[in-house]
Amino acid sequence: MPVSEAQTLCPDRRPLKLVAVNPEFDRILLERLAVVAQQFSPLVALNEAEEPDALLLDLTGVAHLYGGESEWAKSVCATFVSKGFQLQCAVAETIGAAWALAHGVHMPNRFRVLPAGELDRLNALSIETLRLNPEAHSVFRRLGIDSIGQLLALNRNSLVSRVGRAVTRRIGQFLGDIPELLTPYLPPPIFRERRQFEHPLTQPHWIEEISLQLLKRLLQRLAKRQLGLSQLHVVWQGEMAGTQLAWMIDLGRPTVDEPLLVELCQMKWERAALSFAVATVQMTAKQVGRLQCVRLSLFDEHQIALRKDIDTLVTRLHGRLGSAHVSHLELVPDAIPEHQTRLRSAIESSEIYDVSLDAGLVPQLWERPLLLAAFPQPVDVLRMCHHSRPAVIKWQGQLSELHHVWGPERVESGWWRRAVRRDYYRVETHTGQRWWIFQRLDTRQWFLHGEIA
Amino acid sequence: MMPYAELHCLSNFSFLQGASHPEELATQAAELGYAAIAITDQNSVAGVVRAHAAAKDAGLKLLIGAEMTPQDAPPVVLWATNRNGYGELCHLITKGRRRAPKGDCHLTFDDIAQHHTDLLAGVLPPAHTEQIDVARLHQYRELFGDRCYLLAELFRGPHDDKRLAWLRGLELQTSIPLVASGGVLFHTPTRRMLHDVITAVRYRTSVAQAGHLLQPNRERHLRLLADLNILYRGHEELLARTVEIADQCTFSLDELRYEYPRELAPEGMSPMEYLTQLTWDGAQRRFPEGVPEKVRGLLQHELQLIEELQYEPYFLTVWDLVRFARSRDILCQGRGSAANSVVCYCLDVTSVDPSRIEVLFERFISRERNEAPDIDIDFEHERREEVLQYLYAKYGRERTGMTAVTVTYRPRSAIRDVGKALGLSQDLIDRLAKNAGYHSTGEKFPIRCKEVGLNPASAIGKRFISLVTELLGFPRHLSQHTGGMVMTRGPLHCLVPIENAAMEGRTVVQWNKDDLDELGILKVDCLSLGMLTAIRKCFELVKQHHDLDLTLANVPEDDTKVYDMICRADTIGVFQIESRAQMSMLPRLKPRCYYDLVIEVSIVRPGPIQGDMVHPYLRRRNGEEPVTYPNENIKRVLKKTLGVPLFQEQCMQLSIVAAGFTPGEADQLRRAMAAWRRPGLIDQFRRKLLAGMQENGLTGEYAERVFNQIRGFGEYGFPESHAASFALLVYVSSWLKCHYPAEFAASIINSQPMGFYAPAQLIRDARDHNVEVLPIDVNFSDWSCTIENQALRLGFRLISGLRQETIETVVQARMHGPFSTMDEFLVRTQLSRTELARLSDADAFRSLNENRRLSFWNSLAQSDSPTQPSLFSPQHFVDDITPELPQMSAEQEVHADYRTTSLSLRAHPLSFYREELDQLRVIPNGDLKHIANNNSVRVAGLVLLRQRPSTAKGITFVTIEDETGAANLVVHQQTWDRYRKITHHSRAWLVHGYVQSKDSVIHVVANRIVDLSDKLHAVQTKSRDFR
Repeated sequence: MPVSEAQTLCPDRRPLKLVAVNPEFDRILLERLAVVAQQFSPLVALNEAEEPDALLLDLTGVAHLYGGESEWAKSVCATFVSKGFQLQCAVAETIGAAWALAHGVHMPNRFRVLPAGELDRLNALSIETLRLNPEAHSVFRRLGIDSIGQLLALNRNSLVSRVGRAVTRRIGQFLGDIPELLTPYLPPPIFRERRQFEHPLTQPHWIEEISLQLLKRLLQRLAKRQLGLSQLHVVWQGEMAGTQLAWMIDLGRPTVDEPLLVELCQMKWERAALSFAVATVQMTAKQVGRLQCVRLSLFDEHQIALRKDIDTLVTRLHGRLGSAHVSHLELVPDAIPEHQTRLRSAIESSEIYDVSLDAGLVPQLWERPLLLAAFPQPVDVLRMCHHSRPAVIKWQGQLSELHHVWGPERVESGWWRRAVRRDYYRVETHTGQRWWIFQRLDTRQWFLHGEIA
Repeated sequence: MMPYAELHCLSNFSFLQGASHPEELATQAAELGYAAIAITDQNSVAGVVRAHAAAKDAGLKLLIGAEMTPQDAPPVVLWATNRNGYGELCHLITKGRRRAPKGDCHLTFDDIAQHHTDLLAGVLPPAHTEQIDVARLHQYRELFGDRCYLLAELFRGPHDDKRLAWLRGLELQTSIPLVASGGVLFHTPTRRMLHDVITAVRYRTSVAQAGHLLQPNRERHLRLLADLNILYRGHEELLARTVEIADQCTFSLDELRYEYPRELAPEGMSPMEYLTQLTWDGAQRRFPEGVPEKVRGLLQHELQLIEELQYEPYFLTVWDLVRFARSRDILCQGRGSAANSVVCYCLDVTSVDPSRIEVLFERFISRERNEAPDIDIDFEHERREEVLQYLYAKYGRERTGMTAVTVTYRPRSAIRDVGKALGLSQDLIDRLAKNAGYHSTGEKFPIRCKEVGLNPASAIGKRFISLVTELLGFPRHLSQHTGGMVMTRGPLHCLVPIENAAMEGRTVVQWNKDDLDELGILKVDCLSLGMLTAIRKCFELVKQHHDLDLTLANVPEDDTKVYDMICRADTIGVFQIESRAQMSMLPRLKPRCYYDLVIEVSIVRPGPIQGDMVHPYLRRRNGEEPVTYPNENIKRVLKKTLGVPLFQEQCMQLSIVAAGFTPGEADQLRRAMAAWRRPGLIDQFRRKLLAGMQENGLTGEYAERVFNQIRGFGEYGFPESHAASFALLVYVSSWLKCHYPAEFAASIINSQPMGFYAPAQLIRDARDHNVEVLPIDVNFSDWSCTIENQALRLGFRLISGLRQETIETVVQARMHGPFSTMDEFLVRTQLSRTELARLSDADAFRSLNENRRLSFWNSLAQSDSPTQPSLFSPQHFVDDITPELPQMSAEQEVHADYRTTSLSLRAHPLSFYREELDQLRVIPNGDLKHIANNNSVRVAGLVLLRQRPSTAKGITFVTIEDETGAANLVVHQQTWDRYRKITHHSRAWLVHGYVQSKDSVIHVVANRIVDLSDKLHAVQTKSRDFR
């Protein structure tokens, strides 16, 4: 049901607790469980689907190690339940049959083992457990076929021409006539270079030398797979437990630029105060990514060079300062001045923003001062002149006479979040400063918003 | 302070650009003291008539113009100075719109150059930049000379002073004088929120994300004169110039007089002579024994009035139209006030014999009204298109056009658009829309919103509700009216712009019915009446199967059997008297002759009900009350209706004989009663009426009563002539139902959609009258229902989702002999898999011994796009192996029947639950007649109809049906609201209530309603809902 309907069912005092669905997270969790399941079978696979939600294990030659299929299943259940999961487990001679059994019978945290050759015991289960496509289901519904037994009673050849091979394939997989292959799950490799010394080292420049060698090797391994490094973790460990120095270098974008990395590492190391003898050096690529290809065009070399330079600059700044501190301004079409610009992380936006391209942007943006106060500053208007324009204002204790006043520009907008109604004026003071001030139309108070440089 | 006239305004007829109604703009401008206002919609004058009426009422001068947007030049606002200029403007708009697809307009500078005479032009520089093609400005200047101006619009932007300076520079450079204008988009600043919303709708985004598409401030409203003077300080001559321009424009829409087409009479005769000849010839035909004196007198009176008012071309136009239709055997009949005209009767336009009713020509045409007559003609709905094409062919595309219909925002569309603009979640919008009413939101709207999860007290809730309420009634686009046609002497596009309609080859004028009425421009309404189609089809079937040649004129009159049937209220399918309300009235009124039918048709309507005419009439008819008349004159008027005024004409005649009005004044009185918005006018007439009656010796109380009755009639009463035209059709359809029930049922079903009942009820009624009904079958049925050995064979048209071409193929293939197996059927018809699936789902293969599931199974073997079988792939569609398919239960079969055809010949869905219902002490509907009045009772059934008449004080009448028949429920407002979820969405009810029976009319008043839908979820029925 939709959220709004659920909210009407909730009693007034208790707010609805909503948890968002996160398929990525679910998949990662399932992959970890697959690794756990590898203790029970040499071949563990996730089911093939957009969002996998089951593990398939091949029991061939394994059951006797546990004293039988039931004992095996018991161990499996116990292991996962102890980890806090709820599961249904079924064992059968084919994957299709096991799937049907696991999905067709309600047995929370329990298991069922179907002895070989007794497939007809599953005849009463619904055909929904056979992993058929939706079109086939609607056809069978119209024919009144809803159990596996009824489906199996139909002639297989007649079915092929009517509902397609996919259905007969599933039936075959259920019965064991057609093989079903499992693709085993393999966890992703870890890129790590490690070196342990016989005698712990104390000289910093030797340690650095070896660290850089490890870095070089790491980068070579990555480059072979067309991968780049986006986060590097460096650890210098001493002999005694608990003594270590660690650094994280965050580049934002995957890169194999060795000189850059060397420079960044050295900048970090030169500030290190080494108080122990280093026994182990370890370099781990915490995050890797596909190397991005730069689009080549025949004619615009200048653009490419420029782009490359900017990318390098951003990466360096990122490495030195961290992701939170490198960002750029983005223009947002909005009538209210303080909302017209927005900071965005430099890594995310990989375009050079060419403002001249977007002529559709309201030219008012050109009319905005370059220096904008973070919050409008209240000022006092001490004297008004003709046509209700300000003549003398006081800000931060200083009096300024206004020699020129341009305006008003009326800005009224934002009623859907917080209404703003202002009359803006550009003013030039007696000292030659140019300010941008406004009057709020509801409270008639005056504020300084920016400086026109 | 300088005076000002607003020269550039967009109303909401510039769809999704203006945020105010034209009349709002006019009224507001008047209040602000403007000298004049011009409504200048984009490439359109659709809104000017509404502004015209409002401006007239407020005493404000209205300029007619439009903002034209050529593709190769800056946009320019054009104002019409006189009638000729207005014609040029319309012609220009027509040109641009006829060239482009519906809703668009493609114009070039050259087009404007060809239509510039008597028009003033105001060039519109772009709003956000200071760049313009100066060469084009020079061209405008050359074209318009000193009629050309440059619009200076200031919206308190970032550099108004610079802009003005730039404009001044342009003025010097091109010698085009500057004039101030407002670029108005809404009439008050508070409309700004709605304007932002419609902008978001226009660009398919939300308000929060629309960014610079929205206006930066609220300046584009009709501003105070003081503010304008401040804004244009130092440039006051720009304001003065607006009044100069306004003064040059003297055109008013009142100048548009109707100009009739000319080619009406044959060589050597004037139209009036021709009309006179046709009339007397027709009179001879109508009265073969000689024209009675009375009729002769009436004809002379009418012809004289027609000649005086110069309406003869109109009558000839209509006569020609009817003649054409009759020549093609299209049934047609004039309706409405036209039946008051004996000339129309003689011309064969209407069918009501004036000797049978009291005619009052002034109800139709009067000197005082001074506007063209309004004739509505009903045609068979399936053949009306032929008539329209005839008009297009005869008068040409340039001189005929259809009237438009302004499609406006209804609650659901308003909720969806406002919801999306405000950024509400999609599921919330869906629920709000489903929970809203059809026609208006009403006071309960906040409660409805709360029910689905939008808090009406929250900021966004309040905003949402107010914006939706404002948006209701805004025009969305123009669509073609079903049948109103305008025909002119000169080109139509000099009268009003014509644009393309959605349908190929159709064009539409930019004004709707009300606009044309307001200006007095003539139109002919070619209406469609489903019953005429049904009657013609029935005549054909009767001829085919009984060799009897029937026409509307030769059906035997005064058949007692027929009147017996009517008095029994056995009238399902009969024209006009099949509704629940009518069926309750029939046993009480007991019509026994033609005039009784005329009364029956008129009496069950809001007018008589509200005027409290119904009960007195019935009492007098049943002899419970003496029939008295204050004097002889009144007796003459009211004799036929036993002293109770029932018809509009009677009220008019009362004012004539009782208060001494002339017929023309009486007509004015009737129209004044309809104009309830102008109480001052009604008051005037009231005084006159009472004074007149007093002079004739009628006392105060009676006079007051008469006045109130007349008032109640103004809006709702039926004209007697209209009822008389309809009563003819009532009798004919009753006669056909009585004597040829199978043919009658077949014709009504074949003419759907029409009438009150769905095919399921019509078939059930036919069976109740011993008509055998045979199911749809590939070996016997046609697309339409047919008669087979005096039984009704249902046709394929009842199956939803089938195309007529598919069935043509089947019928063609069947000509070589019936089908004996499924295989043979597949080979001979080569239908696609989906078509076969539909047929099998409708159980159409029964004669081939294939039930639903089996035939569906066999249909699956067919590929989706079958090709001819070739030598190399002999296609064996049906295997020799019969599959083991589970049997469908009887209930499943009935549900499948309902799913495909909305009816079942096997059983009623409720019959399967009779045992359960018995346990719950529910009685079958058929047993209701045995329950005494005021006893409590429980009934159950599928919802067929829901009706909420406006006179019923919020009561809804619901008809439910089970396997034994139908039951009529009365649901009071509180009950309806208390069980709103069920009453609104459920299609199967169990009702606790008590019986109300009187005069063999039985209703059940509902106290409690229980939802039965989950039991019957597979049954898809649609309830027909009426006001």
